Amino acid sequence: MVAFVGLLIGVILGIVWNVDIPVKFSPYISVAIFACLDSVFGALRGTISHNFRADIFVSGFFGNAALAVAMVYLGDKLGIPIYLAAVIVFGGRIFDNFAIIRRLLIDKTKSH
Amino acid sequence: MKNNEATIFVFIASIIIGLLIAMNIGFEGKSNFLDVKQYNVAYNERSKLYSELNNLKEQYYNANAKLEKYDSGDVKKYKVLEEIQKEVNENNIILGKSDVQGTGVKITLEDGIIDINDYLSSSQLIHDVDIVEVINDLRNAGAEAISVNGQRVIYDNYAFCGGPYIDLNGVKIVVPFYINAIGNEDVLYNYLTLEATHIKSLKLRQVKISIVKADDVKILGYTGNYKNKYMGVTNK
Repeated sequence: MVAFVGLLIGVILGIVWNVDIPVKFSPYISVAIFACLDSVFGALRGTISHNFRADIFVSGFFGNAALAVAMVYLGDKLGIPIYLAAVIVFGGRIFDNFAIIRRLLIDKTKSH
Repeated sequence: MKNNEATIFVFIASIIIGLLIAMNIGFEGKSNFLDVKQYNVAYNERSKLYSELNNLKEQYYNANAKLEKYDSGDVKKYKVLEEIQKEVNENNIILGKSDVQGTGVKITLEDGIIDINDYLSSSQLIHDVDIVEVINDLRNAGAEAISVNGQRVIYDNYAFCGGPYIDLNGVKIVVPFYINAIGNEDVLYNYLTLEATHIKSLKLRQVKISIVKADDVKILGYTGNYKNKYMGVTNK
């Protein structure tokens, strides 16, 4: 719930400020967004399963984004789409995390 | 407490993600990505621009080399003078002011009189018009320089019958007429002898004609002045 509110606030802020990043950096930002999204899902799962650790979340949030951007850059230079690796890994993890969150939430509602 | 902390972090992270998404998507309806067709068009455009760039670089290099040639100190003046001299020489050749030589033909025309006692008709004489016609024929055959009795024929020459002599551009010339022309000797010779030229009609009129090919025709330059009293360059 809080994630959706934050997302909404962020989008509105972005529209209001109207910051346009150069087209050149567009692919990097896209992959970075995916990495951040993965971290947020991880954090949600941690919150629900009560084993959230702030240091791990923050390092993962920025570290994953930086690594993904670096991979896109490297792939661009080498001519192979390395960013696909990041997309597949993060996508898979997002689905995994979502599945676990689902299970936890359903178990929680059932136990009540 | 721990839950609270997690909520704050997730909230901040969500805001950041939202910001990034809003920045990246851009809500002005423009897409940052190209489909295959657009990509091909853009790629071709890029190749075209690259090749254009290469051409321009080459042009720049050539122009720069030229500029450097002019720019190097004393050599500069010398080079410019040389270029000017070259152009003056070319213009002189076009105007007929310089002595020239080359392959061509030598024509000799003489009145068709064999004996002083023979009856001499007007058709056997060479008139001013004949000279003009022969010059015209030579020009038509591609002669580059023509002289009549050593007088260079230039662009504004005229011929005028002055009775026993012909007034060619103010210079009196008499028979025999030696007409020299520089050009492709074979073309000139063949044209004069084979085509229906004025020379042919002169032959029918029993005028004495000799046409010889020559490897080394020398024609002197025009020594007169070029006067333009009335004409001037148009105002642009």
